Amino acid sequence: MSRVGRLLAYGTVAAVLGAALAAPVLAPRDPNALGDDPTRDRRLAPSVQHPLGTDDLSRDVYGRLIHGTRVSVSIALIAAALIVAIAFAWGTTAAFAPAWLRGAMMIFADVVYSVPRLLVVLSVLTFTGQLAPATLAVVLGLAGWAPLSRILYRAAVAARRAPSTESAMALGVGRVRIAFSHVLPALRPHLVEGACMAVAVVIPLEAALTYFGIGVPRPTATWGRLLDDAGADPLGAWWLVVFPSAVIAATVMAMNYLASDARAPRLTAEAK
Amino acid sequence: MTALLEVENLRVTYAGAQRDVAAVAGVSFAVAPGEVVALVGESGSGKTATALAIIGLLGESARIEPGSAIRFEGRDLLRLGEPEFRDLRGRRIAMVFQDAGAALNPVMRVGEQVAEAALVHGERDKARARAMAVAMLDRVGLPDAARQARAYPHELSGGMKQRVMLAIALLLKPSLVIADEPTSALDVTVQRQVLSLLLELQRESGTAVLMITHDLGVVAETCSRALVMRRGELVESATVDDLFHAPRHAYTRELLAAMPRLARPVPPG
Ligand SMILES: Nc1ncnc2c1ncn2[C@@H]1O[C@H](COP(=O)(O)OP(=O)(O)OP(=O)(O)O)[C@@H](O)[C@H]1O
Ligand SMILES: [Mg+2]
Repeated sequence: MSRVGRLLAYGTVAAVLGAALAAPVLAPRDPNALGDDPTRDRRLAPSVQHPLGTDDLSRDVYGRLIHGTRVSVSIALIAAALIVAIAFAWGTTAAFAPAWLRGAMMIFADVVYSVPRLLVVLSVLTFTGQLAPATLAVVLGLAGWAPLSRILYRAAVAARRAPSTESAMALGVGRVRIAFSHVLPALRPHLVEGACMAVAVVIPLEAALTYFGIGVPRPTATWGRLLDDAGADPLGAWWLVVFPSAVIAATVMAMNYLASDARAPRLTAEAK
Repeated sequence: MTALLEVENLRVTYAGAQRDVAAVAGVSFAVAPGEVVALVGESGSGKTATALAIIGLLGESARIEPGSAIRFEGRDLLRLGEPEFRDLRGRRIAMVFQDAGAALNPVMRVGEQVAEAALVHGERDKARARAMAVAMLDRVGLPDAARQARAYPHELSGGMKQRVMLAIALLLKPSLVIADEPTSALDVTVQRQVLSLLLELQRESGTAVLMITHDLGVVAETCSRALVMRRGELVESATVDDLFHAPRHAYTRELLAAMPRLARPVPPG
């Protein structure tokens, strides 16, 4: 990856995380507050007072984008943490399990994987109706761990059978120590990559679900909600579409960059 | 002389996808304390399977058939529980693998890997284990051992990595070292250095060596006795002199014929 690309990717992630953390400071006003005169302040183009303009209901887009970042990023991080945790537990348990259990666990993961994630989320949401952000994050996390568990399983099995593991076993090193000094280091790049990919997948998923009105309920600002708020006729108010779209696209691209960056050092080490 | 290691009618089967493979088909031999014995044979003849059976590291796709026996220092290894076996590995029986580059843990400093042998076998004092490791690395000829102990495997040359493997294997002065083609991944000149180092260490600590190799030159130079395997069976067991000058089995003669002239030992007298 080029230096510029890396700089842009890390810069974007830092900016998004910074906005999420410092939202109350960066945009102290209530993101759902209407303008002083809701009729006059509707759909104002970007100006000094409203750097990103206002929406149909006269709300400040900048404030909503900042607070939306906080919610969307929280959902993505919770879901990604769940995905990584479940995938890690499932994959490594299977890798160390006896042959029959290992097979059964991977078949289960394949079954979970084979049901489209969107379908799982949609069926849950049909039952529950719209969910609070944290609950939605949990649903997205529970629906998305299977592919990563397979990757981690493969890597753990390979690490268990690696010559360096065998030679450690020939030295009398026990299972626990093997797990921590041989298997875990081999999984680390996959864990980092998997976490980045999970964020990159969950962000557009949340945005889409919320956009279609089945994700996070109104009026909570999220990146998907901002797109929804652009309304039926966004053409006359480009700022309602461009800013949230740009933020979503930049974040997803940056996370994909970080994911491939996690893989890269491993490749160079192996090439030696 | 009582044997250090006795292998009796060893049979190892790998469960294959279509059918089972008898990798070792009834092999018997013994190794005396301090003896250097060669185990030779073509690729796939079952040398590694024999070695892994002895050290108890056959994978789960392999099974040792009933009727087999492996006795080491008076104990029946096939009846040993995993904790007791683990206690033997690295302390009484050690293994040197072919490709030190792959056998060393890439994310651990080599000094730590040598020290680990001591730490897993009861040494509580980390500083003392580290000092033992540095002394051993110095003994195997790692220049500036105290500093090099902090290096990662990829920072060392192939020969140096194999020296580190020897340091690990011989740190606790085991009574048996199984060396599975310990030099075949190295340059010819480096091979000799590593081999003579192995023999020096072996003599110092009175360790017996089971030397697995394709290379009859290595056998001639280092071993007193040779076992020849073919298709899972032991076809010849002879002193090295007899092996080179009066091979009994046709297969051994073939192996000898395939060997470059220069590497052969000079006939006595
Ligand atoms: N994990 C395995 N699964 C199935 N078959 C195996 C496995 N390992 C070895 N075999 C088979 O067992 C037989 C003996 O293999 P082994 O590795 O002991 O040979 P070797 O004498 O060490 O050969 P080389 O000189 O090439 O190292 C071969 O036929 C091989 O195909
Ligand atoms: Mg072999």
